[in-house]
Amino acid sequence: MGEISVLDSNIEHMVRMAILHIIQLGTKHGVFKVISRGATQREVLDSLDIPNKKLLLEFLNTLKAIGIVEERDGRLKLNGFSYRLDVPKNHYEALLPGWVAVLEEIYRMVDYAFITPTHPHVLMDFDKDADFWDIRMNTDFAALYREVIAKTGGIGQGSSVLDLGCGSVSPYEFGKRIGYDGLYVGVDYSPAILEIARARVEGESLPVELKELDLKLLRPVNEYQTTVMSFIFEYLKPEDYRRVLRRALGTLRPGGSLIILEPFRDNFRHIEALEFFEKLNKDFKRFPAMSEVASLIADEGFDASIKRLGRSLLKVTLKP
Amino acid sequence: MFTKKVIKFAIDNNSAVFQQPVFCKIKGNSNACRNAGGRAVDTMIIDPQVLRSIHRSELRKRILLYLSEIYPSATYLSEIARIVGSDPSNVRGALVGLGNRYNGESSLVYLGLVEEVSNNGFKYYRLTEYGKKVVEYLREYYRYYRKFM
Repeated sequence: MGEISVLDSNIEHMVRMAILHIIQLGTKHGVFKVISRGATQREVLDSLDIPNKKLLLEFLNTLKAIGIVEERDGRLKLNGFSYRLDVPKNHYEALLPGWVAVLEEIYRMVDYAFITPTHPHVLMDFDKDADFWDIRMNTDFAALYREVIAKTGGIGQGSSVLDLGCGSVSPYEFGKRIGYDGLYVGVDYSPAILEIARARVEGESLPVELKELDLKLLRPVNEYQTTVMSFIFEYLKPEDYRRVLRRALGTLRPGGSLIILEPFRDNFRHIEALEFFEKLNKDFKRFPAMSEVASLIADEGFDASIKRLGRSLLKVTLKP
Repeated sequence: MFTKKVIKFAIDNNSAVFQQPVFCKIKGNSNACRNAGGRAVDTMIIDPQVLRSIHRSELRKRILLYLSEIYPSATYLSEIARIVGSDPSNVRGALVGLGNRYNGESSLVYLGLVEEVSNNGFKYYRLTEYGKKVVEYLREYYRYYRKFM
């Protein structure tokens, strides 16, 4: 199985596991019990002893989006949702254990977030919980997607790379990969995550520059061989996609590539289940669709080729 | 009577106790592919709550850093106390817990960061492989914790 297929298989399995945990949460917190009585959405919200009503409403919307619950004549109904989880051998061989433990921790956080979104056991804030994010970005899954990005974007000795939403691990990993005759510029809006990244990079004297910046304010000045956007669109409002994409493409030199990695919502059925857990981070919006990102790029009029690689990777290459 | 500061002897790596399985952590790009190929993976567990708790405790942090300096060697309690500049009873509390004053559940041995080894009637303490990884994280997060915690 190729690395991109392994990546897709793992994302697919994240979604499958998330569905099971959604069902578990609905059972544990009595949501299904109340819905089975044919309650209205308001009645469900009022009757359950869950203080964080906003998250409960989000949970109900997730149930509707997945198709576990439907709303008819103003009442919520369980619609006999049936879900089958296959365990094919070749699929499991490709599974990486690292993300399972991280997602398990996030599933557990929901119980505390149902009390209050600022509960100390909810570790999803980029600044307050940058250590959690760093550990997440250190898993085998994260190592795999960095490997896929590097290979797809041709990142190697002497490369010049702009990483939009770089996080705390990529600067070190990509910095090592490009060596002392290359350049890596990492941009992130979390000062805490950048602090961890700096601590890691400084001791190694790597050719890495780190900048704290909101992507929406990005102004292309220099040109790079590769620009990376991994797991970043999910924190942008869809109305900002076009502007950010235009500017990201504007950072490329002729022949350069923009690598976009996302669990694209049009390629992973029931992705709303995974989104529910990711929304414990207040900045999370939704996973983008591959088709909308690709069509926005095409609309921008860049002389570029767009390559869809598997279900979670887009490579946009400017003509030389 | 011991005259050496550091006692070296073989210790079984499997004696470390791992608590609170929360996250798997693997560094480097090669591991993902190694795992994808079906070979062994590093599934060491790191919990940010444990890291934060240790960061807040100056004594536990100093003990870990000292044991990290002499890793993989082991040493005895009074030597650790002398190096970290604390009372042996406090060091014992940080290592294994001590009555109500030091919560055993947050002790370094209980958390699997340090292992206690008996040899000829004496007890020695050594950083575990897991403890070594936790120290690496503590070092990497030091500035972040100072600024943001």
